[in-house]
Amino acid sequence: MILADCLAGLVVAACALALIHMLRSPLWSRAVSGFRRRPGAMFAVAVLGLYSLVAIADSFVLPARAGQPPETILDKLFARPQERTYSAPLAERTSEATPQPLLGRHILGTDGLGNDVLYRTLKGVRTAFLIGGATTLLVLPLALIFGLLAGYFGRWVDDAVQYVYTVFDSIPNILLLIAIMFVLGQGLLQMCLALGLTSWIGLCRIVRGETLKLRERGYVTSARALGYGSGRIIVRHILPNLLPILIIYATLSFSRLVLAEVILSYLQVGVPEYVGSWGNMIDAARLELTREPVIWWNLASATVAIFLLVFSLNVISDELRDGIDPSLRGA
Amino acid sequence: MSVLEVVGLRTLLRVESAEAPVVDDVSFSISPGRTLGLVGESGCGKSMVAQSVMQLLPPPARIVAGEVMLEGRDLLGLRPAQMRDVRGRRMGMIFQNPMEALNPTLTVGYQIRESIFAHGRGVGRELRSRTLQMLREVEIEDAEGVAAKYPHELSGGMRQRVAIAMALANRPAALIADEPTTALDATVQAAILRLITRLQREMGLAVLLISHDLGVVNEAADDVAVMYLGQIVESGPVDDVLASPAHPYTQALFASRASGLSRTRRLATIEGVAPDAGSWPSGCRFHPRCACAQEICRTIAPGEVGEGSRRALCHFAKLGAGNAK
Amino acid sequence: MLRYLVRRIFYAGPILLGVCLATFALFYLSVSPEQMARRNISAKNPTQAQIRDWLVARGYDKPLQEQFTRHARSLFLLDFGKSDSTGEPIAQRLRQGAVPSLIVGSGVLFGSVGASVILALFVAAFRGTYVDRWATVLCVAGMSVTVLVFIIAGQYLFGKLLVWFPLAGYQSGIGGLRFAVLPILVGVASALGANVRFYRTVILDEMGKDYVRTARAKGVSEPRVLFVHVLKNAAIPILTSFVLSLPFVVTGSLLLESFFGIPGIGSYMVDAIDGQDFAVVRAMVFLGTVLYLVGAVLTDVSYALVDPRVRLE
Repeated sequence: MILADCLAGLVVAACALALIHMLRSPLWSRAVSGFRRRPGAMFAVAVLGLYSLVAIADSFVLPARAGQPPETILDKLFARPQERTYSAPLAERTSEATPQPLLGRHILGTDGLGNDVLYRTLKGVRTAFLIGGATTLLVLPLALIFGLLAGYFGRWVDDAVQYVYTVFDSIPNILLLIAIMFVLGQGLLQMCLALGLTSWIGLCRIVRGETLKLRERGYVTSARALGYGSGRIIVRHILPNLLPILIIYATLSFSRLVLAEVILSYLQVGVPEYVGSWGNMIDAARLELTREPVIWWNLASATVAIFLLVFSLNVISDELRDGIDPSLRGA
Repeated sequence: MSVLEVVGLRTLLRVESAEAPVVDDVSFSISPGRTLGLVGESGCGKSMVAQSVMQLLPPPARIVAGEVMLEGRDLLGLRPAQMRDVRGRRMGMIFQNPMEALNPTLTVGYQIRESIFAHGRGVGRELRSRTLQMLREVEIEDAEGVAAKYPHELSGGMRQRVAIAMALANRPAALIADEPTTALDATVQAAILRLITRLQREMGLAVLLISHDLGVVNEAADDVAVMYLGQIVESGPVDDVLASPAHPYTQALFASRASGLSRTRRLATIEGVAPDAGSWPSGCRFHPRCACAQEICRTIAPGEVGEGSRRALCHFAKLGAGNAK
Repeated sequence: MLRYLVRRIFYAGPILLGVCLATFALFYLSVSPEQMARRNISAKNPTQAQIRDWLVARGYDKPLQEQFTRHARSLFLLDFGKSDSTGEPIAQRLRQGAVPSLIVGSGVLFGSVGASVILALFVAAFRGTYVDRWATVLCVAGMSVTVLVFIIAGQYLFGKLLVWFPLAGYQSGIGGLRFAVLPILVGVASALGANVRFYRTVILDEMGKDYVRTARAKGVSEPRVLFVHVLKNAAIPILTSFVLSLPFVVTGSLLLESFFGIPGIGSYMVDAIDGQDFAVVRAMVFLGTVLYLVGAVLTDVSYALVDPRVRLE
């Protein structure tokens, strides 16, 4: 759990840095100011903000009472008494053959173990953010370093990097993902590692291509002619031009990662069951539709939660892309 | 009787959420066998005029007023299907970049044939013979060999010949040539221009020749219209206008050409830059860059001054012989 | 053409070797055979003797070089050996599973490319209008729903409520095709959002090109512009995405097959994951890789067929 906390800290720090960068650069502020005129974009930003609040609330541990497990703010706010079994949203009795009165109100009902569905759904937010965020943190440096080196230095460095990613790319993504998870075993960290190892290739290829292009630009050539070192040219002249692509790609990959988590968890190679995650919720909910009466609220809550997050991320990355560089449309 | 007559054409372009005129009250007419050269800097609206006439404007642009009369018929009143039938049959068009203007995945022969059968003319063998005949007419000797080739296997000049063959395959009454030689080498340019002039003579075509290159216009056009910021600021027979330009913009345009190396065919710079659509100056649009602008130019838009076949849009335009060169 | 193929095969060598090394590191060095045995043996606390027997029976007790040779053999010669958990030859199960996977997989592939291209053309024809705008929003929305929900909802709606198709199961022969309809429909629907969006971009890209304007200037009708001129040029990116998903026609869709109870290669993989069967998972990774490399060659060949500018040298 300490590891997860460290990861959470890193994710928050990275997001904050990215935000600060975005607000300071005129390119981004123009793209962002375009958001105000678009209701879709504003909606997406609001959803993302709300999710962030939940994730943050789930990250601060309150001082534990004696004999109790530590609780986060979210636990404190949304924990409801454990019921006996299923109950429909806002129901007063359980959904059993002989309905029993409930101990409390549950906005989204309860699942088979009597847990509050809203609470479980909200618990999944942090997991999704951790997986999306930590993996992106793994992917970005990996792809950046290899892509920049390959694109800037060319020749054998380029050959070597291209060889490495062609090898990785030849193994169908989902199979490699499953194989890694299968070998490493379930867990949050393992999952970030597996997702990271399979998703750096796409970005690396883009970074390499862009670096190749930027390298030939006049200002880079003149910097070289002035005798600036490679490191300085890469950091001062090439990297800043890659940032828009990086941020757009990060937003997009974040949403893909959230979806990947769901599938892996269903295949029993995702995060372990005790970690609240939407994948686990759906996995548990898939058999409930065959019950009488139908238990739909569990599945619906997880689905809507995933949908809102992924949809918002997709909308934001689309808007950023259109605002920054329309030529990237469809990338 | 003119073949193509444009009256008061006005086209708007949507930029962000506002619409700005890119073609503003443009009028001209072309008689059979004559060529009108339309010149101006890039961004002045020349291509927009061509695309408005063909009704091939990109979606953010639309025609709001005017008449486009082709052989006495107003094209702006036609339904899309009728207009489609006019394009390629009564009025052909060739474009600037022959590298991009041909479909890379279809053979040259197919693309010429298509231009004939799109109008339901000719079948089978006849189609084929007309295609080959068209290729020969644009002075391609190995017509059968070229017809089987793909555009990427041909040189730029050859492709432009193919494009001309496509545009003229149905013997139209008018041809619109939008910078037909700009992307070509100088020697090829001359050959293509000669070809267009020859075909024009033979077919009695009315040609609208758009170019930023005064040399091209001088060589191939009978009349010239100079465009600046969406308006035709001066027009008249090419020799007269070249000999004694009346509008300061035309003067500057010619001067910039003359002052540069004689080899430079493209326009050298005029002081300042042409503003974007939507931010055009009030009064005379040329006044911020005009060397002889007066107070009146800043506030009042000039009306058209005409004498004989010459027109100019300037408060101080002096038409006729003897004005400042 | 022949020279091209020879060269491609020659190039595939180092890549296969790289895949061989990477997977060896993954499967043999990151887990010890003993761990493998513990996870595979069903007994709660296996004795040392049980573990030894398990290792010997499956050849995991051999020295590392020998294991590597076996590993390389199975990749280069597609000689997969036997399953760790059941002991049956993997190749036999793969052959059995190939037909059901092929039926569902090819159905999904052709169905989704066909439907997506038609929809994308339709949307592109309405570019800039409300139809286009809402279609784009719908596509993004479709992309944001997980495949699992498509499957569960499809099964519930068509299999349980409407009872149009059997809920799950499989039967060989023509009568069995009705079992394949629902999985194919669900597979197509779940891929539609992303595909239509991608193809729309590709098609709009082509529609902005000069040759389209030339075609219109010739008086070519709008449907002809779309279907002949644009589609022929858009075929390359469409083909790429088509061929890249070819491996999955054979390896099958893991989720679709396991949900719909189709005894294909995909559900074999899911069973293998459940049964902690390392040998089968390895075999699947190899099969996928080889198919991918074959697919890459096919992509190039198909480019040459569609685009006259591409020559196989």
